[in-house]
Amino acid sequence: MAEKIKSTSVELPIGGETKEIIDERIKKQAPVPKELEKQILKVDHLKMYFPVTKGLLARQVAAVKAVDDVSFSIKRGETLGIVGESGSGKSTVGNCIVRNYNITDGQIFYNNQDLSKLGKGEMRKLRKEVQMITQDPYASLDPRMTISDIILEGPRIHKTVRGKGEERELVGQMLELVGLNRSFKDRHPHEFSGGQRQRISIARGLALNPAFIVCDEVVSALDVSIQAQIVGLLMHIQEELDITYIFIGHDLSVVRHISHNVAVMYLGKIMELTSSDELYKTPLHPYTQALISAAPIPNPTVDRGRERILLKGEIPSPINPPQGCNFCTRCKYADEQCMQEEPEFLDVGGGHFVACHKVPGTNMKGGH
Amino acid sequence: MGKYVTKRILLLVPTLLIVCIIVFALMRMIPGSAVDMIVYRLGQAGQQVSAADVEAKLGMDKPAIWQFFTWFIGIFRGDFGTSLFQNESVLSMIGRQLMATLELVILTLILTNVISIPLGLYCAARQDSISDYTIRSISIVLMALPVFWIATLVLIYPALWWQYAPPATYVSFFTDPIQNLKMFLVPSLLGALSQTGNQLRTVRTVTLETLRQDYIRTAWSKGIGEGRIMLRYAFRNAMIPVITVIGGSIPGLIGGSVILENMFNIPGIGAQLVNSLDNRDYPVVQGCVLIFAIIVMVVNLIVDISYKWIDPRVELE
Amino acid sequence: MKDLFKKKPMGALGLILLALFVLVAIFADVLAPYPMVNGNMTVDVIHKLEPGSAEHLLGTDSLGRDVLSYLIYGARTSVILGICCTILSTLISIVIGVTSASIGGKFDLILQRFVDGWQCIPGMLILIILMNIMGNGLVQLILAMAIPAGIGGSRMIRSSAISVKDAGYVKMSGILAGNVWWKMLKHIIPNIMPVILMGLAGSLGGVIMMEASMNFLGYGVDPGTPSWGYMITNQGRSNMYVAPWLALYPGILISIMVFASAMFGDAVRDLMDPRLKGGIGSYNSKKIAKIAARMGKKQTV
Repeated sequence: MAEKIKSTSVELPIGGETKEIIDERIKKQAPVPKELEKQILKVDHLKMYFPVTKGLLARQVAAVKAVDDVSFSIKRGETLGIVGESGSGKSTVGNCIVRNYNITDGQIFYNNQDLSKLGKGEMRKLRKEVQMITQDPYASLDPRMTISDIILEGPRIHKTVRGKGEERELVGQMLELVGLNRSFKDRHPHEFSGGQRQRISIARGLALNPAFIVCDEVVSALDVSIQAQIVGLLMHIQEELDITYIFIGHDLSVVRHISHNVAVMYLGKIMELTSSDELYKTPLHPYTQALISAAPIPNPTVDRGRERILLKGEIPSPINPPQGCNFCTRCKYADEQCMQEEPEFLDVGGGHFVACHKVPGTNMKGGH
Repeated sequence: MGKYVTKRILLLVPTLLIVCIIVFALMRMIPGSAVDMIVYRLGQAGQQVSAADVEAKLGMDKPAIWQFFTWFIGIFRGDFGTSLFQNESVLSMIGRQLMATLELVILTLILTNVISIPLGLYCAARQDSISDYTIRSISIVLMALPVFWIATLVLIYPALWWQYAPPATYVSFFTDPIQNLKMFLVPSLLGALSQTGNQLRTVRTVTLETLRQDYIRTAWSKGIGEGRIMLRYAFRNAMIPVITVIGGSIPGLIGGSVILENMFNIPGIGAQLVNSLDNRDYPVVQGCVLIFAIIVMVVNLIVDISYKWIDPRVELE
Repeated sequence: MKDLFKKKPMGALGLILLALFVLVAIFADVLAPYPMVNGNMTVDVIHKLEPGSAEHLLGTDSLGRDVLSYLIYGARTSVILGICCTILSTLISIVIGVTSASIGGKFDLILQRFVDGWQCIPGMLILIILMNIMGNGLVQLILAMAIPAGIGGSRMIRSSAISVKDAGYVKMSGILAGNVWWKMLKHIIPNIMPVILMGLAGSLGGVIMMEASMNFLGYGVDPGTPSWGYMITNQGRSNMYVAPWLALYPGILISIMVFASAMFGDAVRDLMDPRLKGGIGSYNSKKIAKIAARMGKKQTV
C-alpha cells in the first residue's frame, strides 16, 4: 500500500508585515452568501466541443468533444485535483472555468453566479477573483518585461494599486510570499530557472488577491525536487490565504498530495471523483486502478511486489468516442453492456462518484 | 494543380474589385473637374458646349456608385470606357501604347536577370573572395544611383561630346528591329542597372542559404563537380525566392518606366498616364492604372504557380 | 551600438555619413555661404550660370543662386523628408499591421484584401496621383510617400505580430483581464521591436530615392523649396549645353545619401537577424586580404 509522502514544507519567511497584509487580504476577498459559504464553485454538465472545419467556407464537419458532460463542486479553501492523460480534457476544464473559451453547454457557478452567462464587463471584474497559472514557465512570462512589471500587470489593469510606492510594496510582498528575493524585481525572466519562473507566475497570480486559482499542470515541466518545492509553496499559500485551487496534472502522486478531492478524467468525462485518501484506499474505476499501479512507489520492495495493471488497446479519438463507456476499448472488464451503454456518473456511497457499469453500488474492489 | 490554378484565378476577382475601387476613389478625389477642362478645351477648339451637356453625355450626372459599377462591369466585357478628350475607346488607346511599355519592361527584365543571376551565383560560389566583395560593393553603389540622374547624364554628356541623341520616333520591333532596339536599349540598360544591384544580392544570399543545405554537402562528398552542383541542385532551389523577387520588382519597374518613357520619348502607358492625368481624363487614367495593376496581379499569379511547379513540396492553400 | 562599429564598419560609415547630412541640414543657415533670407534664396543677378569661382565655389544656376548654398538647403529638405516619412510610414505600418493581427477575424480579412489590392498598383503611379490630388508641397509629399509605404510595410509587421500574438504571456494577459488594446501596446509591439527597427532602418534609402524621383518629375515640393531632385530636372537638363555640371552635383549627393542609408540599413538588418551569418556586409579591406590569402581562390562549401 502506498505510503503517504510526508509534507515537504519549505520554510517560507513570512514576516510580520506581510502577515498583517495577508489578514487584510483575507478580509477583502469577496464576501459569500452565508448558505453557500462552503461551496465556492459548482460545475454543472459542462460541455466543450471544438468544431472541426473543412473547406474554404469553414463548414463544421465534426466536433472534438474535449469536455463531455463534466460536473463537480468544490468547497472553499479546498483543492480539487484533476488527473488524466494527455487529451483527457483536464486542461480544457480549467480553461473553461477561466473563460478562455466560450463553453458549448453547461453552467459554471462561482459563488452562485453563472460564469458562462456573464458579459464582458462583469467577467472582467470577476477576473480579480479567479486566476490561472499555466504549465510553461518559459512562454508565460513576457521576455521583454521586468519581474516587477509582470507581477504588476494585473493590478495595473484593474487599478488596484496607486502610485509607485504601493506598487513597489506589492511586488515586494508577492516576491516574499513565493520565496524569492525582493531584489529580483528589476530582472528579466530569462535570468531565472524554471522553478523560479513558476514562482514568479504564482506571484503574478496572487497579485490580484484572488480567491480561486486554477493550476494547470504547473509542475509538469519541472524537475521532481523542484516540483516538491512548488507544491509545498502552493499548499502553504492555501493555508495562509484561504485560497481554493483546482490542481490539474497527469502525475497522480503529485496531484493527490495537494488535493482534498481528486477527479480522474478520461476522454472528456470524469471516471471517478472522491477524496484523495479514498481514491488511493479504494479505487473503484478500472482506469484509476491502472493509473495507481503505474505510479512508482519509493519503497522498492513494495514497488516490485505489487501487481501491475497494463492497459491494452489505443485511446479512441475525441471526435468519435465509443458509443458506450469511453474506456471500454482498453478495459479488461469490458463487456457488451460497456460497449453499448454509457455508464452514469453515480455516487456509490460517501461522496464517492464513479462512472462504470461494473461498480453498481456493489463493493467491487480491484487492485491491491 | 489545375484546381489550384482555377482557384487562384477566381480569387483574382475580389482583388480586382478592390483595386478598381481604390483607383476609382483616387481619381474622384482629384480636384479640378474634368468637365470644366473639357468645356474649356472644346471651347478652344471652337465648340461651345455647356457643362451640363458634357455631364449628360458622359454619364457623369449619375451617382458615383452607378458610374463605378458600369465601369467595373464593363471591364469584363472588354470595355474600359471612352476617353473624355479623344474620340477613342480607352482600350484602343492603351493598346497602342502597351506594346512600347511591355517591350521596355521585358527588355529590362531580361537584361537584369542575364547580369544578376550568373553573377549572383558566382559570388555565392566564391563567397568572401575579392571578386565577391568587389561585385557586391559595385552592386550596392548601383542601387544607390538614381535612375533618372544617370539617365539625365546619359542624355546630356553624349549629346555634348558626340552629338548623340537617342532616336525620337517609335518604331515597332516587328517593323525594324535594329531601329527599335536603338531606342530601347539605353533606357532598358539604365533600368536594369539599379535592379541588378538589388537582385544580385538576393540571388547571392539565397544561393548561399541553399548551398549550406545537407543535400549539397552530400553531392560534394560524392565527388560531383562544382559546376554541376550549382546548376542542377543549387540553382533550382535557390530560384524560388529569386522568382518572388523578380515578381516583386515588377511594380517598381513599371514605376521606373514612367520616368524613362518621359525622358526617352517612348510612347508607352506611363507617358499616356501622365498626359491624361493633366487633362483629368478619368477613364484613360483609370484604364492605365488598371492595366498596370492587372499586369502585377498576373505576374503574381505566375510566380505562385511556378512555385508549385518548381518545388512540388510546397503546400499551397 | 558598438557592435555596429566593430563588426560592420560599412554600416558605421553609413551612419556617420547620415549624421553628417543631418548636421548640415540643421546648421544650413550657418554653413551656406549665401543663406536664405525670408525663406528665399539670395539671387546674384550678375553671375548666372557660371562655373566655380572664388565667390561661388560651385558656381551659380540660371537664376543666379549659389549652387553650394542650394545644395546645402537641399540637404535639409531631403533630411526632413527622409526622417518624417520613415517615422510616419513605420507608424502607419504598425497601426495597420498590429491591429489587423490582433483583432483578427473579418476585420483582418477585409483589411488584408485592401492591402493586397493596394500593393498591386505600382507605387510610382499612386504617388503621382496622390500628389495631383494634394498639390505640391513638403507636407503633401511626406503624406503621399508615407501612406503607400506604410500600407506596404504593414505586411511584414502583421506577420511578426501574428507569430507573437498566440504566445503564452499574451494569453495570460487576457486572463488578467487585459483587453485587445492593452495586449497590443504592452506585449505585442514591444516583442516585435526588432522587426520594426529593421524596417525603419531599411526604408530610409528607398524614401530618399522616391523623394528625389518625385521632385525630378515635378510632383514634389514646390519650386521655391530647394531640392536635389528638382535641380537635376530644372537646372541640369534645361541648361545641359551651357552648364552640364549642374546635373552632376545633386545626383552625386543623392547617391551618397542613398548609399549611406542602404549601408546602415543593411548593417542593422544583419545585426538583428541571427540567420544571416557569414561575411555579408563586412567590407573591411584588411579582412578581405586576410581571408583571400587564407582560402586561396576556391571556396570549399
